[in-house]
Amino acid sequence: MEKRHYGAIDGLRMIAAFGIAMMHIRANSNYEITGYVYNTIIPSFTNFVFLFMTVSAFGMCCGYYDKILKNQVNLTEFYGKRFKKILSFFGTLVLLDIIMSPSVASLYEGFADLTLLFGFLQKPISVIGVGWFLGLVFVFYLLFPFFCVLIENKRRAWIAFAVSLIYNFVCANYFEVGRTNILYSACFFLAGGLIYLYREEIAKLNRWIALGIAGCAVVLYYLIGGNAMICLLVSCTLLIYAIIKRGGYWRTELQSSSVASVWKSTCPTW
Amino acid sequence: MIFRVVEKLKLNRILGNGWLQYAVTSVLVIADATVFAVVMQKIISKAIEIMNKRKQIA
Repeated sequence: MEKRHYGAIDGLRMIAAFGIAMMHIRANSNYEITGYVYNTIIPSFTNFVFLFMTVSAFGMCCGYYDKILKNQVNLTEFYGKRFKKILSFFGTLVLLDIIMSPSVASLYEGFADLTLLFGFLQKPISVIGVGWFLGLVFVFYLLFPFFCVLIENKRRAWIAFAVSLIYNFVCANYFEVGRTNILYSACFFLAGGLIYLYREEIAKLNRWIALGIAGCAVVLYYLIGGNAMICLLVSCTLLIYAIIKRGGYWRTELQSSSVASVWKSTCPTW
Repeated sequence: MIFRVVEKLKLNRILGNGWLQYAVTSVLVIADATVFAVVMQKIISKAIEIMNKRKQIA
């Protein structure tokens, strides 16, 4: 079976990574700049992480969905590959961070970082604090076989998505947990899974209509405000547009997985 | 981390306090972070390759 490469998704990752970097630089500086762009648009780039979640789920489904459901994946190799891919680079960053600002607390946090299991902790981590996304995405990797079962067919996937939306609401309004929690963010991952299930139908849609809808979603985001549902809408419409666009200007000669891993590595390096 | 290096070198202040400085800082951080990520990935993949070769020989 032909393996499709969605080159435009690499472009989407790049835009999201640049946006998140710009947001972090703004947050860590005190430049005397005013105006809508600096005070509203750049801080809103923090929500590109939701796009990363949707894209990550879609990408993982492209690589492993069929293999997992057909029992063609060796789980030792699957998890080993995840560990090797993230730990080598992230571990180097964590060690550099500990060397730059040594303390007992940073040793404890560094230990948690190096296990890559810190996504299960409820306490935020300051050693490579922006690496929280890696912790979350690693929890998603650990749960991925279960995730595949949840989206085994379209009916079950929609039910799981509906439940995840309720979870998102309950997490925000009762359990008081945010985007670093897997249950809060499950709807973004499941949206990526759902988009994967409908990828053939989506690929047949008109590119300009998809771009128009994505544009409307972005405008709506700035009119209503960045709540989770609008972030979900923006992430999904952008991913759908990237799937339709497929190759295009952002097509690279690199393998999709290597581009993805460079962006994943670039993010915690700011 | 790269931002902290840029900050320590005072490169985030050389052009003042406005848009130009913000743009320069952003470009510096993004470019440095990308170069760092690519170089580190190459080093790490080379190290893994060497380790795998040694394992095969052993």
